[in-house]
Amino acid sequence: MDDIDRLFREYHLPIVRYLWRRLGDRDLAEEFAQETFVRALRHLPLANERAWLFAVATNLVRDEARRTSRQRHHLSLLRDELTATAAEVQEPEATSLERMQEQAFARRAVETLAEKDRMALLLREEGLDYHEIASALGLSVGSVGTTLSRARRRLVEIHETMVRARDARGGADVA
Amino acid sequence: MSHNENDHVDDVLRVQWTPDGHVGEGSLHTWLDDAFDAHEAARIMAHVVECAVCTAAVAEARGLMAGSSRIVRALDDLPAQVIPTGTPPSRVMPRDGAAPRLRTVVWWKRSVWQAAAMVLIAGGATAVWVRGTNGRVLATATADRVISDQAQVAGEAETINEETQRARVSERRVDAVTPRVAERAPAGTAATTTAATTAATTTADAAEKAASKASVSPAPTPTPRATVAGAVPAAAASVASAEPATEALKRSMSDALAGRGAGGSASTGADANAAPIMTARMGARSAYTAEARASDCMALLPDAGATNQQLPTQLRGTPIGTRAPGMLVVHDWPTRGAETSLILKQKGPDVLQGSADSPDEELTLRLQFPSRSAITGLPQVTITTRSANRTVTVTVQSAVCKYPMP
Repeated sequence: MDDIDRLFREYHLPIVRYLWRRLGDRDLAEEFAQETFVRALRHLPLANERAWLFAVATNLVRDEARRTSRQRHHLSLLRDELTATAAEVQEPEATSLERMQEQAFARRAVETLAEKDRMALLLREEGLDYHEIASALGLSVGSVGTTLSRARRRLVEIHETMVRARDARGGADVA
Repeated sequence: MSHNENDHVDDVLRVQWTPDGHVGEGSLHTWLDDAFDAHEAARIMAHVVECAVCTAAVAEARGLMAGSSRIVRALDDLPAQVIPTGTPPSRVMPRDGAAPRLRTVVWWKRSVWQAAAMVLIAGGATAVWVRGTNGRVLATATADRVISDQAQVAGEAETINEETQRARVSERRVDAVTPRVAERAPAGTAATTTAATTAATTTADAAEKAASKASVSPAPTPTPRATVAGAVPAAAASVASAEPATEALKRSMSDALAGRGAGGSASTGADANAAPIMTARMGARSAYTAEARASDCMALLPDAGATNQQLPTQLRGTPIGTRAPGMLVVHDWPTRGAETSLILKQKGPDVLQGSADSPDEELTLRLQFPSRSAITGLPQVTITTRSANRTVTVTVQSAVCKYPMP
């Protein structure tokens, strides 16, 4: 009981965040996080608990990725959400729209990454070290740096492309 | 940059060199992520100091790391009111498993009843006034209108209450997926009390669906620890006993929305190389913080180009809040280990007091907000940090409020 308490308190937040970033669905992220801890309960004690937990969460995501229809559904919801909530938010409209657009760009950019690159990047953002990332993704430790560098470069480049395209559209609109 | 990096098959990280004698990009990222041992790190350091190509590559890699980190964190930055806002302190799960405090009436529910009371008072006053001036007929008509308005407001209140109840039941359905985890929350007798109370308010429908979900779970069903009245279904007991963990979940999600952990090990590794983070922290508990919402103040996140190599000259702070006394704390300022002085400038009302110290370890900037009304206008803040011969500044876009623990 103490172990699962500690695991839950220590890793629930980063795992939910990791899953949320990956899936873009809060409810699904919570559900997967819960499932991760249920599985942990069955396997206690864990040798390398952080790597184990994130590996289980990653596997759940992979299983989910096979059901891509749900992702498509989410993206359509997100698009609708961006439109629908624009008029409801309390903050100044321009700021809110900017933030929503930024989030949409980030989501699209992350989604364009290869699955392995995306997972490695999100795991790293959660503070996992190279050995833990390698363990969670089934990679060699030596390839993690290459994977991360590729993921970071591609993510930034894609994002910049989107921003430039938006700015170009904005300039054209003004003209 | 060309590469000739081969994946290792062992667990030892070694520097990979390109054919033209430079450090491979993957190795640079590994180095910047502090994943090499001391020997390998020293090899890279020795080379980078001497090699202009690799120095530029390191700068680029730092920019990519900061930029990608910012993009990933933008995934957490949801617009206001799309998701539940942060948990007010009165609903935060107490430490050490102590009994949760009673929930306070949230502002939007309270405001409905306040509106109803206002209608009654205004109506009554109008009736008295009319009775004294224009006669009884007009007064009666006004009173009827007041009663009608009161009924309408009360009806709206009931509707909101029903929706709230449904929302709570919906939350419990989700939380009931893993009753085993929830049961193990160190609630003790508090959990028992909460369980009984909550179970009584959980609908039979929610209990059935929770039981259905629980039975789907591959985990063996444990014996509920919570003491619940026998008439309550077992699934309802699980749902009810999950309440403390539910509060923790909500709090966790609130932190997750902020994109960073609340002091845990969640983001320490990544943050080491990420661009600086500014966090707005509210002051001591007050009536305001009890009703604060995430949209009232936001975390200050650095701009994509804000790296040590790209030095913009401005730090822009969006208004942090209009009523909040408190403190703005800057962590991981990018001049640790350097002799640092700081100049704080501000446009707009002169209400901020800035100071910075601890140059040896980590520069922490604290901006005190002396009063609630004083920060109404915080259109722009410029902070310039001078370290040796260079100037380091960070551009900030938005902010996230973190609630103080009770």
